Amino acid sequence: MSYQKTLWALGSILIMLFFLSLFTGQMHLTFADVAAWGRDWLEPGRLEPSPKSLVFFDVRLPRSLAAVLGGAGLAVSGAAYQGLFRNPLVSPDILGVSAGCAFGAALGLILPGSSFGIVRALSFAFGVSAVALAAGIARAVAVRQVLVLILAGLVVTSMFNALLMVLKYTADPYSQLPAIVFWVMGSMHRCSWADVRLIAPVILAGLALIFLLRFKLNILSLGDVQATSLGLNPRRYRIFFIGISSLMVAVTVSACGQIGWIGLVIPHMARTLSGPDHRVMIPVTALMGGAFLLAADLAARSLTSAELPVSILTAMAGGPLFAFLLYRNRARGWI
Amino acid sequence: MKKVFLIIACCLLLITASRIRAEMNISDAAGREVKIPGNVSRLVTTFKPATLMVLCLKGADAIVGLDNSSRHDPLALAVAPELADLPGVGSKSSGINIEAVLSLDPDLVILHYQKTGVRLADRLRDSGCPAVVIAPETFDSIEQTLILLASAMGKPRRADAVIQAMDRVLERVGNRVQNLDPAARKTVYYAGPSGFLSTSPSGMLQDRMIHLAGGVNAAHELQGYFKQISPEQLMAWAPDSIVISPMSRLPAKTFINRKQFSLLPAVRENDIHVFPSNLAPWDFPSPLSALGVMWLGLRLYPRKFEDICLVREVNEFHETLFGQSFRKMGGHLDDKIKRKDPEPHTRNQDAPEGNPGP
Repeated sequence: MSYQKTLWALGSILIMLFFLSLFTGQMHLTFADVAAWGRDWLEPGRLEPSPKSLVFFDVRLPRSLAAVLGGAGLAVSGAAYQGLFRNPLVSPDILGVSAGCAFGAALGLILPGSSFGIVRALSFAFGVSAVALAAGIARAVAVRQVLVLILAGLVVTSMFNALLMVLKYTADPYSQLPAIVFWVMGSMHRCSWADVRLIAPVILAGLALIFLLRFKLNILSLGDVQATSLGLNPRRYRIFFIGISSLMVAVTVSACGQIGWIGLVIPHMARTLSGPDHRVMIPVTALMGGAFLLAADLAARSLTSAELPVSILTAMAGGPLFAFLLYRNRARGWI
Repeated sequence: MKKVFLIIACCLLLITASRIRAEMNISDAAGREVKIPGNVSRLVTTFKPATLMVLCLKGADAIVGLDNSSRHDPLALAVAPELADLPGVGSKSSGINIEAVLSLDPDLVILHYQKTGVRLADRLRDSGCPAVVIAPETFDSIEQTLILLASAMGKPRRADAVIQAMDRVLERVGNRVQNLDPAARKTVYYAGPSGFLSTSPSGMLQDRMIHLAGGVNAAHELQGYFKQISPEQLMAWAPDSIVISPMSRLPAKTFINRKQFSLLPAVRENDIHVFPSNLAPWDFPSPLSALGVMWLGLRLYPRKFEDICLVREVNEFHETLFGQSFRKMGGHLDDKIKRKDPEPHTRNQDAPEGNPGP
């Protein structure tokens, strides 16, 4: 399939899924309802909010938008990281951003008198500082930069995981502990327009920047020596891509909690569809990531009356898919 | 010198003999047969509801060690301030320190009924320290637990007094709501302790409490333990009343002000309440759950309860259980939750631009 055709096909799947998710859920909505609101809207003053219109405009619409944005952001961050580190095992969590976010959120949930806004703000702040810390350690060590950066990421991740455990240990087992556990599991149910307004600018700007500079990822993935000989400052671009990707992941995790596997599996799926050229692969990854999280969230909220944490579904679907890809591409020098 | 030794040996023999003679067997919540000494004077409790049960049975002076969180618990400290200075032995979620328990040389250790609790109880028994597991989760099992602990503590009558007080409260509520027309029963959504959108399915205590108070639990169709639901599900249920666990007061404030919930009957009528009290949550499994039922009935159907003075009932109940009134213990209901006034700009704070809202 040519690049154009792939993009068109994925784009249509995404749009179809988006409509499906707007019209699926615990409350039954039909096209006729939406058409009626449209007619009422044309005549000012006639539109009265009803439970159905609130479900459509204030629950499903922001939630589906957040799922598409979050999925695309996580997947593209993963693709950028895998290119930068020239390692297919890398996911955007490798530098500690998710661990930092989880710790920040848990801290917010435990602090007395802190509202949801503070939980989100702390989560974002700690996620970004975790990556900054990893980058700082790598800079201080200053030898074999890529390897040291990954090791520094491991250090920061385990440190924040330990701190999270300290918070879990001290949390009230009847209220705070389950709240932390649920938060870390990740779910889109918290997403309202306020969240979309927060994450949309960051993710759209991040996607645009990575899209515009995606050809640099091809050069960076050749290694520092090659990149330098081609006239590219690898360190500067590495910091740039890490910064952008981490911001996108931090803003997503601070709104929806930890959602695993998207950043790892989707870039691989995109690579099997479109090849390893980042110029082609980045847009494909974005569309696939958005569609994958949207579909997972649709299943999470519609399968049962109770809501399943979406990260369970992404891991349940992503894990076997990844195993299948490994098997199918075993002899193609893909890994 | 020999005489002294002889006397000491005799005394020791007597003490041991008396302990052996007074030993008795009880069967705990996991069906384990446990041999315990006749007069339990050194108790260790390992989780909050267990401590609360012992306090209800007026056994505070027998406690020699307790779970860490109960040492800061307002109710426990109001009943027996000296508990704050007793050694903590860990907690149910982060683990019990078996050495700390053994070092207190208890006559009886009370543990939770989950697998880790049962295993720990067996280990303690093998180390010569009697341990029972309890499962206070429903009204029936709360009463069974009271009977079990009271007989283990050597005061079986005390359980009767507490159970009678609970039954009396529940009966008074039942008399007022049992003849309610099924169509007039309010649908109640219960927001659980781990978040506003986490609720109690059927089979849990809170579902039963709502039923006893004359309401219908919105989540009755669900099964299992605390369940997370989507905002949309709450809107589909459209509850007439929302009751919130005191642990979720803060997150609930954010949610009830969201525009998406503005058309829920409970939000429109401002029929939103937080379970009392500041001392101990009444929506948790304990004898105080009976008061929770009365409070809920009164909030759902105030006209049916016009003749009941909640404050007096609550004071009397605490007097029976803990020997002092609710007021004297520093208790407040704390059952109100503030909603922002529905001014146009606050109502629209979550609306997208161009959204055809009001």
